[in-house]
Amino acid sequence: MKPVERIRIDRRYRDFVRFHTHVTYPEMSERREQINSLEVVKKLDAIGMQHLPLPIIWDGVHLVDEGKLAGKNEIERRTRLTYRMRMWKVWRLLDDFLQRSTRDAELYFRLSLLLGGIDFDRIHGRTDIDRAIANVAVIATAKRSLAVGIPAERIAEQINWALQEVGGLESDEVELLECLPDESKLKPADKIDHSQMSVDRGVTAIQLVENNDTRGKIASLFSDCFGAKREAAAEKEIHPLSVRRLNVASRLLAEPSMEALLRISRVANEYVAFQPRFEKKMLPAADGDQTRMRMMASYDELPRMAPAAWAVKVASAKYFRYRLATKSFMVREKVKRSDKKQLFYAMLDRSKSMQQGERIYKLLAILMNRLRAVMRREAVLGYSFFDSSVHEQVMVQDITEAQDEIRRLEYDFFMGDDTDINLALREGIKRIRKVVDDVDAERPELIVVTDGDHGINVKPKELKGIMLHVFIVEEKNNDLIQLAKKTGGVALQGL
Amino acid sequence: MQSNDWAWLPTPRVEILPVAREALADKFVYSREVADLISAAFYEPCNLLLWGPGGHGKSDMVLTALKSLGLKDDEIFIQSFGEGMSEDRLWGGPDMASLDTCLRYDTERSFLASQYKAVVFEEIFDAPAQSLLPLKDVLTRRVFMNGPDRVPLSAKVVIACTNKDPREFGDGNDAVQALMERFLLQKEVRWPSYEQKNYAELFAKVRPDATSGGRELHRLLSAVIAGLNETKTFVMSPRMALQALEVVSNTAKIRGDHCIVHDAFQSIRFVQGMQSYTADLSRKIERRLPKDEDFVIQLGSGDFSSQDEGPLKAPRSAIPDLTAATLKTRFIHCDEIVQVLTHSFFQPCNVLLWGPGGHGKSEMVMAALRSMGYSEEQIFLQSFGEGMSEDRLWGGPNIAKLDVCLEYDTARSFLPYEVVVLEEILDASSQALLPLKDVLTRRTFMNGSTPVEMKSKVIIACTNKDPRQFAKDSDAVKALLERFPLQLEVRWPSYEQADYEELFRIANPNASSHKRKLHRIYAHVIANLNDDRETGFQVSPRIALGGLRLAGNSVGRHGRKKMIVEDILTIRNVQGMESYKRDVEGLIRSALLEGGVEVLLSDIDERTERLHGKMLDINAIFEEASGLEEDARLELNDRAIAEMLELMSSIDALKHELEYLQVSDPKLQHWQKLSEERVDELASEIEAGR
Repeated sequence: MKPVERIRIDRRYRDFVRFHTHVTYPEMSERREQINSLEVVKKLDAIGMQHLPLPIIWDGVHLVDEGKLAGKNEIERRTRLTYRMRMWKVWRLLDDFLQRSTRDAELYFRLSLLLGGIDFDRIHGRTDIDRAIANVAVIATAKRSLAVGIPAERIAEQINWALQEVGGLESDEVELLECLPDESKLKPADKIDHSQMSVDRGVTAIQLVENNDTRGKIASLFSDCFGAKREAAAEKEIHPLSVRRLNVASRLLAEPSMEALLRISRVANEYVAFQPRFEKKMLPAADGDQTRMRMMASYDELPRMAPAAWAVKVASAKYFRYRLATKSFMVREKVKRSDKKQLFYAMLDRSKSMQQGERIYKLLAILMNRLRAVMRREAVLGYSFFDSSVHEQVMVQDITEAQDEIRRLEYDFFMGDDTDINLALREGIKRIRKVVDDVDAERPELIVVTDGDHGINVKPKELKGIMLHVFIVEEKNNDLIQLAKKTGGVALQGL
Repeated sequence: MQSNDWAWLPTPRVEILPVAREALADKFVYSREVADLISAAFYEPCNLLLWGPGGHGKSDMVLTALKSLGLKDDEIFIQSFGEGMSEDRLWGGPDMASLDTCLRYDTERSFLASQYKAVVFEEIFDAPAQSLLPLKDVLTRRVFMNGPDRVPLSAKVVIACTNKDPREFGDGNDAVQALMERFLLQKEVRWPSYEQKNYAELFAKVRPDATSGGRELHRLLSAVIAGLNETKTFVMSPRMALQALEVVSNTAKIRGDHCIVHDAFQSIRFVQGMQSYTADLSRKIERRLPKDEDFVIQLGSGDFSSQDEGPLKAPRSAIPDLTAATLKTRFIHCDEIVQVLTHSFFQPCNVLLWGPGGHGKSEMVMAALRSMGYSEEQIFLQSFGEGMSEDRLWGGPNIAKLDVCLEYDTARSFLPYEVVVLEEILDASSQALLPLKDVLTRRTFMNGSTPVEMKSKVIIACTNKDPRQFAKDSDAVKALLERFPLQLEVRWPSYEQADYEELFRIANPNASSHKRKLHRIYAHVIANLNDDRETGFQVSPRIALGGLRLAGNSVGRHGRKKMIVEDILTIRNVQGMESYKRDVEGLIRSALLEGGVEVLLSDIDERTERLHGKMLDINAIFEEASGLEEDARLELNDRAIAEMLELMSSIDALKHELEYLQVSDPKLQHWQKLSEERVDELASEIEAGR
């Protein structure tokens, strides 16, 4: 994450930020604090959000518990009440004339309007308490964003955007995204390609800068409210998924390149050919752990017939003979699931040009997409980086190793001087042929991520039996595209 | 060969080509070459093999050509092969009358019967080799030795259709190779390409009277479909494309105003075959649609396949409201299933529902059918499963006739029913599924020598198994699945507290507010048991409802007024929970702490009450002991003291638990205080009693 310069807060917002008056009504008739808000406090403490004032937590809980936002008069009454509570006795007398206690009511009313504009429905959580915690974080952030002077509709727009982006993330995706190194490590400051970024996002360059600016501000407030949570990878389990999604959302706001990453992984998901192929077979095996019944195939299976068949023989010998003649009796058979996984092999470009723009992020998007298949135990993944030569092979045995590998990545790593795609393809094919037998996998697929635009002299028949997917980031390479299409793989360029 | 061989068709030889070509061109696109080849086979006559990807209407083309040339239904024999194919089925089944002496076949029921002039074999290369081998001989010698009798093959042409590529299949299998050589003419049936213009041409052919709105729809839909195609991994077959057109245009009719809107295209996902589209379908569809979200296409009457009120009991126009009204009030997350059932009743066509168990698939189907005016007796329901055999499918053998021939009691099968529900269909073995497939295609069943018409308009199949997995395993299943043009995976989009709460609300609409509170707590507890990952454990609605009932039952059975932890723990005994590996009790307790303190408090109250009872017991023992001899008294006292110690530690545990409990709600705080007082009282009483 970017080193956040402390954002100055205007003097008149000081009390507004330091204290909180809740702006929501609880649902009084039936739900009536179904969520134990003290438990919410405990959980918030556990994940490093202990600094939040209690009324914010009420707001978060109320919004889950079908509560409503208060109206203007009610907010005024409440702020007056709470501000006077904090006042010195003499001040309180004076306040009857000065009306100092209601000066923030306007701000709270704006906050309540802002909260009305945020889609809290987008926040999903297993239970209500998870949602409440996520709500609290969003409210706190929205409030502070208001205090630093971002217009309310921009806040709502950006927060809704982030919530929408992360709303559909599965827990394994979140897990992988959490390993992503900070943007400063992956993106050299002098190689940012604004024109490419604005083309990717379909906005003008001015909008892009403006968006990123607002997002950056909101994000730093977000991460403020998460405290030092990012370090605590070991205690991931106690963070509910809803909060982990929000954490991704805050990084998404802070690091514009995350958007590129999510976009590419979405694009990749649109292709059937790029999904792990769904094949689970039950094979007959003597040592199988499950039994199934099937029709008999030949007469030597007589001893394995179900006992009911012999009862038929007693009841009607003729019918038994008929059934036997037509082989329509059932036999028992032990089966075992074939656990051959699919083999993915990724060839990743580490030439120096990859440092440009958001190419590294796009490369990671593809790699993470494949890692998910490994996490779901659907595939085996191997990968190598290449430039003018092909570097050592990494077989992903343990997913945590791969995650560590991602955590360690830096843009300096991408320093090769040339890109030899032909070599990478041939070497990839060679390694696949070797690995397929070693790890007992099947249906191999070769994945190439590169920004090279060189001609290709690999012939389709060299790839026999291997599906080739190519992802050409921020460049074009028609030769490579044609080759991949011939194998039935996904071929995308200018990503 | 005999001299009159060439005159086997009612049509003169010179007209075979033009007639066949015209007949095919009426119904099919890209049929010119196929027509040429089919007529070549008839002209000669010789055998023909058509192969290519499924869903291109291969068998249909052959039948159309044969009929256009003047053959009647009873002169054409159609046999599906496949994994379930066995030798006896090929030759017409055993001759029951001769079964006592020797095994002879009832060839009158096979393709050898003398009335057949043309024979169509479907999916021929899916059959096991042992049944293909004898076929090869018969095709060569044109005679079958049935015991001592010679049965000549009277059909002039044998046409085989298969989805498999003979080039790949012939390698390394001599039996197949040899059989393939018996087919002189071979032709691959596929489209020249699968692009927008191809699909548009297909649509134009089947809907010749389309209005301008209809043509616009064709253009858009074919663009969408072409956008979904990926070479080698996913190509939408013409059959799927037609079904997609049907579904999309019916959406307009279901809406009532005959307008196609943005959402209508998303209903492509119900089409059979789309379940193997594992990628992000909705985004892919959206991408091809106009950017303007509010576009509308007005359809006219020429754009629909039918205008009448449909063959079912409820008229077409009433179906959407009926289904929606019945299901939406009784089930949650049923939007998709309402849509797919509406489509299926509307068209009407068969539908397959699959997904994890316990989501009320069969219940929903039955409710929808009942709402359409079908009584219990008019709905045929049959469970398939591993034990399913062919004779059970057709109503069991007709025992009275068993000595003479094999006939089934079809009145007891699904054939005479208008609506049919088949459960666990994928669990049945392929032998039972194969004939079912045939009947679904042809809509008649040959019972012995009498044809029985299948009256079923809608067949709804439910299964817990994933059809994708099965289609890969077995071609018989795959072919059967193609007979279910609409398919839907039934599962909840999410398994969160709110979902379970809604489920309980719909199941008990009249619950008091106190009950509703308990439901909420229970939903919270259950949601806590779920796994975050999509592949992990999810408490199914059936378990949830069963657990709730059991908990309520346990409260009542023990004569309690309030629910305690023990009652909630009964969920462990609900069917389906036995595979749950994690610590149920711990999870439930922490969930209660978060959102169900009431239950914990009443749990503590209950336990205080019990400990109180125990204290009285101990006191009674002491009293009893006091009246006894020295030795016996000491012994009894020891026992009482041991129990006393245990009691005290339980009280301590209770106190700790109360202290640990932190609540914010003032009402609950009050309750907690009361409980604390009671525990303290008991503790001091025990103290004093010592």
